[in-house]
Amino acid sequence: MTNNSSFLTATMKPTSAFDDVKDDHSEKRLGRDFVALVTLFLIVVTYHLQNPLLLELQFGQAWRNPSLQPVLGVALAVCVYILAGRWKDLRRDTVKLVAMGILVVFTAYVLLDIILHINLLALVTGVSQDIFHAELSETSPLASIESALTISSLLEYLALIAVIIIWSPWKRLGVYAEAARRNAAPLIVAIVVLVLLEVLLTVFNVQQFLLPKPSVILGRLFTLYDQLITVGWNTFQNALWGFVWGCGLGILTGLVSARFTNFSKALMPLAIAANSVPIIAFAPIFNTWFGALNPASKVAIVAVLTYFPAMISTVKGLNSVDYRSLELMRSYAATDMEIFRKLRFPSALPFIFSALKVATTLAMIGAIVSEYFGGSTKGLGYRIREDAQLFRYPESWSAIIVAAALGILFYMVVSAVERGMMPWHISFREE
Amino acid sequence: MTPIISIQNLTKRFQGSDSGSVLALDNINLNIEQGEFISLIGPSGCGKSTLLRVIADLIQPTSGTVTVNGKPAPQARKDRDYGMVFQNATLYDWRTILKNVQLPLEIMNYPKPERDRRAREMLSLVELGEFEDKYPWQLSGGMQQRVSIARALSFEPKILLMDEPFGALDEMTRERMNNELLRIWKSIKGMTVIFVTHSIAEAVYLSTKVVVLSPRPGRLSEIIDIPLPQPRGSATREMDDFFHLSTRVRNALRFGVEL
Repeated sequence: MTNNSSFLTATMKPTSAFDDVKDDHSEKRLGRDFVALVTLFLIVVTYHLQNPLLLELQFGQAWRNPSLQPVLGVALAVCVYILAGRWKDLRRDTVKLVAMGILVVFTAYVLLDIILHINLLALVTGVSQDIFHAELSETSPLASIESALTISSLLEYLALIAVIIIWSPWKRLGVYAEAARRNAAPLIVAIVVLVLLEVLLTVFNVQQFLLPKPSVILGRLFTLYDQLITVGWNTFQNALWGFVWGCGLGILTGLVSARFTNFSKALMPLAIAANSVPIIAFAPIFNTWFGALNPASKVAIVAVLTYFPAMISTVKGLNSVDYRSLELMRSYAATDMEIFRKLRFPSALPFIFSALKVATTLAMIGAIVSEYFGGSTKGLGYRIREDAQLFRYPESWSAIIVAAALGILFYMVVSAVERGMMPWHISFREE
Repeated sequence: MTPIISIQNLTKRFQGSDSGSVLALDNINLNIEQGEFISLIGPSGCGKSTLLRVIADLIQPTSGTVTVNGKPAPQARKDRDYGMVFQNATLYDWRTILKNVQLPLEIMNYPKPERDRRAREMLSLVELGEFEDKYPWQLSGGMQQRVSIARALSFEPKILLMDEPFGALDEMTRERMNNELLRIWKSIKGMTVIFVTHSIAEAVYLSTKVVVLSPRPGRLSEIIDIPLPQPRGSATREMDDFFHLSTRVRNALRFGVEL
């Protein structure tokens, strides 16, 4: 009998060696590096926003927009939070902990200034808050705010150094080499196409209204970027709010209609039919309903555009539950609400997120195209159309590039949220 | 002693979509005592999984009574008297191993410290304690099935229902899992196991009794006692009795098909 049991343990011991456990290769991804770069950029931008001397610069002006500023501040806070990582790992490394402390101080300082218009350094040095938050004039007491500005620029440099310390890119050179090798082909193709385009357009002396040279477009982008950021942000806001309303209501009705099966049976065929209608065709009508200059007309068209994919995917996702998983829940005598929360909703998440990613593209299309039919002169779509009509093709192209960049950024943010919410999903498992 | 599971005159008829109905289980009578390890064996289509699901109250019988733990099957399900293990591990992808084991405990409203304690205890019972932060896809098939056993046992049910739990595993892993299962069964006093399988060797090796079912309609063709000595190990598989009992089960299966 003792023989027997010792055999049992002997056969059971090597399980972990026998069964291979797959490792995750999250260290190889470049997400964190991207976040670090964005953080560096946001530190510089937000520093410009709180320094009254720098607001005169084109770079300072470019980001100066009452609705964009808080977003930049919050984006900085989110990036800092992501960079911080897990407290467990951070606590072990004193240098990183100190760097993180500096970063948090800078972020808090900047958030207070940008969002609540309270400049802490002004408080400390006894300078009036107005000086920090109004246009400077000839009579501004520059000397008295100099000490505050010196401290704040010192804080900015420290924050930049802190990001680099936390990021420690020198430790990841191997990863970059690997990533460069992997992405070499598309990069080379992109560069070759651009160079070829430049050369061919020059050699054949193609007229600018047909296709401007890449260098010309890029040049316009650099001279006009402050205006383009403003119009881009205006249009992006329409896309974003339309996306929020459309997808929000879509997911909500999806959840409700999946709960009441008869309701969803009545609704789904209609929704699928509506989804295949080219809804952008309604844009002129929406302009009449809400007024072309009212952003609501743009928000509404984007909301309608994104509503149906979100709703259909939600219903599909909620109903795509494996029957054995359902049996398991029933064997626990789980209530419908628990089944919904612990099984149906998590299994619907991948469906919902793929709809959201499609919706980002739809939202940008909706917001830009609806401006072609009339809208605020401070919109990206209006700008593209207007510049093209006035034969300012390089300007038009540079606006198109901004539109593309915004679309990609939107998609990336939703992808990042997806990765954060469901790191378990099959598409994120790297072999 | 009253049986822990009692099945009387059980019949289950599935309504077909167009061409009438299919008789899946025909007049089954079966009593199972507490602490037994019962295997349900039969060719595919004999209704062994259906029988298990009727006991679990996942399927309602057409007629007959099923008493589990002294009460009607639906009540036993509501009282969470049994744990269930399916053929595929049915772990939830979005939960870590520890969270998967805690799933029934969450539904049953155990307080958090208790959930953590029990889940860790069960994971160490199936020897997967060090994997609690992994996700299911990071584990092999055998390990996933062990997690699902830990999950089924986490709320200390008196009865463990297993539907071909090792059917998808390779032979070597399966034999190791059989030993695991016996060890777990021994370590929990008075636990009754009902185990659906189509492997004769597995049924004989594990069980105290093997229930042989015949197909179309599903009938109980024979109940065979397995008096092999406990605890069982690889030596058991080489005993003469092991071969004799396997042959008896095989003959009973063949007899059932010819009927």
